Amino acid sequence: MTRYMIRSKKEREFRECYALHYPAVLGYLVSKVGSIDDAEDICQEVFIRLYGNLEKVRDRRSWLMTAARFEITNYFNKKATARSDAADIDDHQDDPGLAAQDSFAENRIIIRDVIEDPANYEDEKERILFDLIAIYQFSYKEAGRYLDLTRWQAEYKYRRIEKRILARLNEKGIKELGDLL
Amino acid sequence: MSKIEKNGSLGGLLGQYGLDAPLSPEIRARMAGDYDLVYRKISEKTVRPALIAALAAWIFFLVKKAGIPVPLAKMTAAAAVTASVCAGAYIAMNAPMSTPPAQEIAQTVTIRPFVSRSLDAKAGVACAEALRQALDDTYGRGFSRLASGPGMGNSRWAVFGAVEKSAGSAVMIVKIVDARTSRTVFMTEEKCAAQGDCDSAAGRVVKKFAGWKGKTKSPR
Repeated sequence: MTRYMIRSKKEREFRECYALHYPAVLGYLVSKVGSIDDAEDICQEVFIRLYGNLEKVRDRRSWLMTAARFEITNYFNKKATARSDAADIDDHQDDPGLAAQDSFAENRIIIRDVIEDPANYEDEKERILFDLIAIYQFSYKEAGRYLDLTRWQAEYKYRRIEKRILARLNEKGIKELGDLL
Repeated sequence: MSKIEKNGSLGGLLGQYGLDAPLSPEIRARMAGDYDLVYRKISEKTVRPALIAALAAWIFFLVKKAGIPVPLAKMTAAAAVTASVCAGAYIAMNAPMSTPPAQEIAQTVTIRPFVSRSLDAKAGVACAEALRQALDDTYGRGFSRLASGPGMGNSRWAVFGAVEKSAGSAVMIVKIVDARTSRTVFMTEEKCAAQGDCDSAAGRVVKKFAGWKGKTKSPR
């Protein structure tokens, strides 16, 4: 009986975790793999791994993203190509090899650091909302549907996160966003 | 509606710095539609081992309850054999039928919009477009394409570049990365005759590229 209760508690927790992280994990996988079918298969693997480690994992978002990256590497290895994954190619934009790109790369690193800073988000839900809207370009309505928010709540929360991030960029010396754009 | 108007200045900024990964409306719709399906598949896979274990336990207790005199050593051996068979069956059920075929990388080029600190974004896009045109003119239509997302498709080479103002004209800097090894394989710079006129510079870059490519084992 106790075991059953523990199991059902774990399943409820897992279901909540899946509901919260599914769009961001799958969105990340699609953006890297390119095929929605393959991305869904990898997504299943990632969540199955999470299920096995649910009690041990504290920061689930980070854990899921690390697992997703690991599964992407496996995916490309299985495809038997020596090509690196898209993340490696993207990282070339940080390569200081091109002198003219130095400032670009510096700004990119600053912006990435700021958006990765957990201090900008009140909770995990806000972080996911930001990812869905700013990175994967979901509409407020679509993002809200995943996170149990109305379209207006999603927009309001997103605007608040945006304000915080812009304030952080300001602190880092980026005064005018227009200059960067 | 532009990206900047849609998601505010921050969305546009992330796009400018290649930190976004926009998903098409079709993909987003498919994701929403498959939400339950993916969860069901995960549930099936996570529940199956537990179900097998529960069945084994149930059989064990049934045997005990029936009072069948089975020594502990035999019971343990039987359990080990059953577990091996179950594990084998489970792996066989879940293993792919064959290794997926290797994905062939096309001998093509994906060009990212050029970045620029001193000129506007349009200049960067114009340079990338000029380079694409020059490559297609030399190697045939479809040889190169402009990047539309964060991935490289199945292109053989990725092109990154910058264009900067320089004493009334502009300088185009081009870097080519091998998509298989992520290594820079070719890098050059060309001066544009005037700002906005990058066609001739792109043509010269392609000539240099052709010289380098002639030394590779590319079939085209």
